[in-house]
Amino acid sequence: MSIALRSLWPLWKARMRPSDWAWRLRDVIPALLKERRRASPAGICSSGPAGLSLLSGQQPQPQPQRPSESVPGSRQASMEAQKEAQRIMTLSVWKMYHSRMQRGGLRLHRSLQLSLVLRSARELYLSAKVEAQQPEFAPSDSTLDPRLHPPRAAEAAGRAAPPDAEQQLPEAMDTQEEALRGQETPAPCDPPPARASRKRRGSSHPSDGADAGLVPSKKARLEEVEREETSEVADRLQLTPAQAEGAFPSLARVLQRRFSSLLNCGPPPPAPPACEATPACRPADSMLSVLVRAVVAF
Amino acid sequence: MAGAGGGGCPAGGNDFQWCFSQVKGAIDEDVAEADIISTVEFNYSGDLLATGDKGGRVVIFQREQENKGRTHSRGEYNVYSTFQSHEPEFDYLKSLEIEEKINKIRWLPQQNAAHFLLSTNDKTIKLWKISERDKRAEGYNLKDEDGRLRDPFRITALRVPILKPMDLMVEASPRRIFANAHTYHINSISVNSDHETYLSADDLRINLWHLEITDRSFNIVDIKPANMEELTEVITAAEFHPHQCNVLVYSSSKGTIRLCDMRSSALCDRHAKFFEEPEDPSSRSFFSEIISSISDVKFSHSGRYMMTRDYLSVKVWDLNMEGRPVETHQVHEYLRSKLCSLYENDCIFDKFECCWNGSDSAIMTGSYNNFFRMFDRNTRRDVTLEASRENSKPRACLKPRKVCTGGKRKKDEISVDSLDFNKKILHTAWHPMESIIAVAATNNLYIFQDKIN
Repeated sequence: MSIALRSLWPLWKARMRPSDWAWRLRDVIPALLKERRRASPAGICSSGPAGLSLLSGQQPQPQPQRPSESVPGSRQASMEAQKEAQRIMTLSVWKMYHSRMQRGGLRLHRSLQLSLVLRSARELYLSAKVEAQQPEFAPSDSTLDPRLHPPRAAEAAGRAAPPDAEQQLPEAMDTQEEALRGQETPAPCDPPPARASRKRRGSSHPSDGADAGLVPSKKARLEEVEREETSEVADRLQLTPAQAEGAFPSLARVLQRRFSSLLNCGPPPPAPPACEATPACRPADSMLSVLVRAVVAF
Repeated sequence: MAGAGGGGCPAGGNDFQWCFSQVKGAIDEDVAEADIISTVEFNYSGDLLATGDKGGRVVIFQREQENKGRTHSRGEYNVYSTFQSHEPEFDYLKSLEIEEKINKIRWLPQQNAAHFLLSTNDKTIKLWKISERDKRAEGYNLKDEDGRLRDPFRITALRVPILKPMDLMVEASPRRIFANAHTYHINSISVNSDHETYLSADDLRINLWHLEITDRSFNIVDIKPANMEELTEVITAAEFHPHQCNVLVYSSSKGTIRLCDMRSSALCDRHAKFFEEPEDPSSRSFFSEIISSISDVKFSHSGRYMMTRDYLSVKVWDLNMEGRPVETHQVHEYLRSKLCSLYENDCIFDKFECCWNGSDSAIMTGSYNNFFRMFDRNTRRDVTLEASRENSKPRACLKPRKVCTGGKRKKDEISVDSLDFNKKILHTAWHPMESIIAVAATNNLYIFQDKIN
């Protein structure tokens, strides 16, 4: 984690607003402290001049270590798992971004592996979130697909996932317009809750709780588009071959912002187990698709 | 002694007793990235050992002829030739730099006095001819000794040049350059048993080449999906069968191996055999998908078996049984609980290679902390050895190492958390006939020999 932090910080500082940066720190520091606490009892060496050794190497498993005892054990474990999954997602995105700048260009196999881990982390994150809450209604995964696919692919994405078909089609149609408007804008892969309203919610619905942070608000999107244009220009100057690759920094930024705001919001609305349990992962392919689109140009 | 040892060694009958023989490479702590060895390969006779590094250089070692008098000395490997095989290039269309790192070297069977090898980087394959010159022509009519043309008026007599011996000079010249056939990064090349064709494999395609023809290649496998967003697996390694010139295998990032027969169709998208082991649900973890990716596939010398290497294990497959491997050897199972950390430090993406011994009775692969593992298929015994400067006394026997996974650490054991993950052995090679192994540890090449009692 410390590696991720050290590496992320200079990269992101230049592009993040101070408010975003503050969220990022708030997000990272508890994880760091937890990691250190976990590392010290196990007697694990830290990476130093002696050579690269293992950091605290645990699979993302819930480990109740919080001092506050008011949170129930299972919920606490789920939150730990969520944080771990979030950490891995952020790390994966950073690795994807960094792999662009390697000599020899983007490696297809490495990119594919990173996207697989990202997908697994996302599934873990969502299932941990489900465990932490009561399942009430199903979020729609396809809402985000239109953002990443072209509009016609969004419909295909909506059709492709049978369990959520009836939810996804209206979602896809609703979001097509927004997709057309903000086609360049990458979206996070976590779905917003769909049961409460078919239309995507923006920042004007604060009652949606944490998941509203997963939904790009219109205002945020406009800002993103502006910033993305500049970042894309910067990326082109850096000889980025594909436009989709220029979306990577923005994608990472958006993801980070969503997770941070997620942690700071109140009790999030429940998510259904059915959708998350679906291994079909057409929505997860949205992440893959952003990635492979970059690679296609390569 | 060398002749008596070696290839006639009964499979599994003797326990190998590996001893240090030589180490090549600089001793500095500061390792230049260009010196990191990226491939090691013995030729068909075992007399030549080629290494490629990240700087695009190829270094060939030749085994010295043993003195008849000294029965205990085996031939040592000394530098035979060094040349720059690939240079960094720039793809202007995609604005990408093409690394000069040598991904693979494959020797061609020797047909005359010269030696031929194929070396490849990410995009271009080159056929190199390594030839010796130990004679020089002297006494030209029209040229002086230093090559300048003589003044025609000064030529008064006719003479025939004569060949005079000179110091041995080894020349390497590129005879063929096979370029512009791969969109993705080349990961494997393999010479066919017909000695006329070879394959080159990148992430999504496999091309068939003729050694004489550089401007054309045939695509025989193409797994690129019509919609790249549906990409789920890539090709990670490919090899021709050692005896059947129509059979090739390729492994994927999903842990599957496909065997293709080129007689069935021009495009071998449909496999003839499909090797996949059902996943054990109890061992499923967060990183299961990426550690199941196969990093190397090698046919046995007999052609009946093949071996695959994924991140934590080596599996031996019988070509006649597709459902599961006949043997599975755990290389470093103690890392299974550390996968998260290995993901953080990028070690989980390391691509280890594996190799057979000449008689197919043993297999070898590398690990971390400069450890490498050997598995005897007959006795079912395995051993962990270390390639280090500390064990580099001449003919010093290597002591088996042990990694302690938890609990009380015994003397001479090393704990998992003390392993140095910067020191990894990705490339190893075994002499095709004798008990000599070459192990590449970052920028050093260690050569170990088996001490025959």
